[in-house]
Amino acid sequence: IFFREPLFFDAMMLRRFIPVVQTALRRPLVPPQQLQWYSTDYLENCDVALESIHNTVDELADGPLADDVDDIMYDSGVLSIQLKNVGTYIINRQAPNKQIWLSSPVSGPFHYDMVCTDDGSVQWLDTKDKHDLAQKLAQEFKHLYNQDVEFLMDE
Amino acid sequence: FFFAIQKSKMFAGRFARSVFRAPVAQDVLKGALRTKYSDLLVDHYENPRNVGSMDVQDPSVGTGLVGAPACGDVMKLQLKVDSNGVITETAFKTFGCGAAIASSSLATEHLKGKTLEEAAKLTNKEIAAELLLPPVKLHCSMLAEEAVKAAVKNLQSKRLSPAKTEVI
Repeated sequence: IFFREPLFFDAMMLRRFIPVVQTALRRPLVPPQQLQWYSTDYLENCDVALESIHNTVDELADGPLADDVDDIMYDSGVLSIQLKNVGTYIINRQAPNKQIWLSSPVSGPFHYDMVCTDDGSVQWLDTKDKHDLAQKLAQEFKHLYNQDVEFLMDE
Repeated sequence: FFFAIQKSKMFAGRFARSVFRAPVAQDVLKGALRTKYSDLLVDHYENPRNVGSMDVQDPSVGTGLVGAPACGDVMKLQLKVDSNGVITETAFKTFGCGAAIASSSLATEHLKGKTLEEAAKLTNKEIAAELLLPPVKLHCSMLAEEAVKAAVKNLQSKRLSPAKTEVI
């Protein structure tokens, strides 16, 4: 696709659209060809994954990592985990791409695609090297705090 | 913040002087915790370098177009090489947040004077470290890296097959 130069609209150009607008209003309302909706599969699975990560980190904050976790916030698809002397983990849903995005203070940004396996379970695999989101988080927490944490993306 | 504006409207009149409140400890802390963009990022946002467009058909120009409007970020990054394969000119156009604009602007600055192989080695870590990007904006630097790689790939494919190659 070619990137079109943006047209510079000013008031003078608007009058060209008046006849078009009138015909558009008279035309029967037809839904656009490309309706943008997000499949319920993705939204459900994404919510399940984020909730389970949220619960796991909550348990860590109540137990072994009580001194290291400063703040955990989970609101409208964005999970933010603030760790002392490390930085902030941000795990959020990216609905237009059907992805989960991770921003790690240790290793940077990652994008995870939703992959449905044969037995009906859902995995979140990185777009570049196909590593698993649960394994990635487990690795990072192991590296930071020497804690063996299992991130089960189940309810 | 909104409440603060409302409050000042409320007490803008004759009550203004009597209701002035001295800042308490919580206000000071809130100001300290709020993350600000670094000065370099603000500079690249307000004075972006190398904004523009080059001819896509030019055989010495590589174009990388990444992102999607639905995601909120689109970057078009172009680079022009001379006969030695060294990047002489760069141009970019970005639709997105301030961090995205700054990341792509910084990327164009870094690319000048590099060969294609060196350009492909530009990582999002360098961009993020230089601009001191907050955690939620690290993805902008990743998109800038992808734009650079796409432009290099486009130019390399042009050199391999001199026939018209489409910008992906």
